[in-house]
Amino acid sequence: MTETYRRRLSFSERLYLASLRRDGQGIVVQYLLEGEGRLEKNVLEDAIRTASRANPGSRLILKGHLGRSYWEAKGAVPPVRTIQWDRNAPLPIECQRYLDPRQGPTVEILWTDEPNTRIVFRALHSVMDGGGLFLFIEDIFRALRKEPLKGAASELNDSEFLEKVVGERYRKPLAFDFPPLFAEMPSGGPDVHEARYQRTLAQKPQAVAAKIAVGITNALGQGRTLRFMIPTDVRNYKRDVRSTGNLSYPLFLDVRPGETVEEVQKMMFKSLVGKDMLFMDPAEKKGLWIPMIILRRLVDLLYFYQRYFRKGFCSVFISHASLPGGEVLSCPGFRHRSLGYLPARFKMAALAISSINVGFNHDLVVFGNQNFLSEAQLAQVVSLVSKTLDEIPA
Amino acid sequence: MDRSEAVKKIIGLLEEEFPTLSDMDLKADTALLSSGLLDSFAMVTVLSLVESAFGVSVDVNTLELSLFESPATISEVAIDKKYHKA
Repeated sequence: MTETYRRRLSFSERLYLASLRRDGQGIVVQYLLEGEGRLEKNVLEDAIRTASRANPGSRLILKGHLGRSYWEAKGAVPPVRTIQWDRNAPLPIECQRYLDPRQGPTVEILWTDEPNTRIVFRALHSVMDGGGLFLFIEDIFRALRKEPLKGAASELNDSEFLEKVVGERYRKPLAFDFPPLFAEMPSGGPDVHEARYQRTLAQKPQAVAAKIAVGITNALGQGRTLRFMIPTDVRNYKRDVRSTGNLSYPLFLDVRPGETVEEVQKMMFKSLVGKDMLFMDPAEKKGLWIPMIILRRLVDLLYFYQRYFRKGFCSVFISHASLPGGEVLSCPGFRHRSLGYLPARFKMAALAISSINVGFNHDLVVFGNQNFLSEAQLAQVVSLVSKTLDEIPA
Repeated sequence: MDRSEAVKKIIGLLEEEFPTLSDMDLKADTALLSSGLLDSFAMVTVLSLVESAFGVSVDVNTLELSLFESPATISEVAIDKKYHKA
């Protein structure tokens, strides 16, 4: 490791950057932590400062240009902002400010001044994926409990990590040929709408992604094969690498009508142990030299293609994460109750399902851009997915 | 290494890697997958733990999900040569 943490910008991180707009739209990873008890702001700030030293990926700012771009840990410690947020409303747009990659902060924390504190963790996807943000959050809570931190100081980016695990290998370009789940697309606004479903289960749910994929294909797929994109945390392949970087690779799962959960789970297992998703983007090297202004246009073009030709690179996006238990997100005076994904304002998200279970608490969020999904369609998916989870004993 | 030693070693590895399992009093036949204690994403970690702790290279084409059901079945992957690359 160099004296100051540095990580080379990968092509996928450049694509995430290309999604950003000054009004706050773009791919930002956001988690909402709710608990019982009050966590004082100054106590939280102290813990974040401590955790940030062990997790330099939390204070990155962008340096350099094109293929010589890199992240450097010279930004400020993630700030904690007090927000006003009605418990019955989605996170207000004004709370989802633009995170400037060159000026920072690229990670920030929102805090509500209430007897039962709510905390939102926000990170540019370009600097962290969901798994990376979990590592940082876990260390914040270790700091709050005065436990030794684990830290995440690896400077490997996603393509360097992949080279270490499977060598340099490239996948075919992503085909934009899969229809969205719903044939009729509404003309809504540019923002995302969401529905949440929380449940405490008597046991840890099993095969969640497979159950959701099969349930949706059979009930809403109208006899079509649907393609599900499931990001998988590739840290599992090399546990000695602790990094907050973007170490998720998409597993594409084509589910045919009538396939069973067991068949789909088997297919996923084979892909996971066979490392089927560990391929670099074909543009990994040359793409680093495409000017950002052109990449931004490309993102816009893909959006219009998806919107008007009704085809994308997957029908549904499913992410599933599992954390050991609520105690990892608790500290004196504050007890974890739930951890859920908060959709960011990203216009290409046609239909996405986020499932997180922490111990026995399950948090499910279904969301989609209003241009791709109506409220009624959203309700249909939520009802179906929640039925799938209802089969698990409470 | 005999089977019972291998099972003991597997249980130790699982408890160390997955903190929640350390409170479960894991036995050789504790159901890991069907109980939801571990999911198929975690199997990737289990597989790399087995490979590094037992110094073997597993042939993934020989694997079935059911082999990760319990510490006893995982120990078969660790010590039975039919699951290893030649």
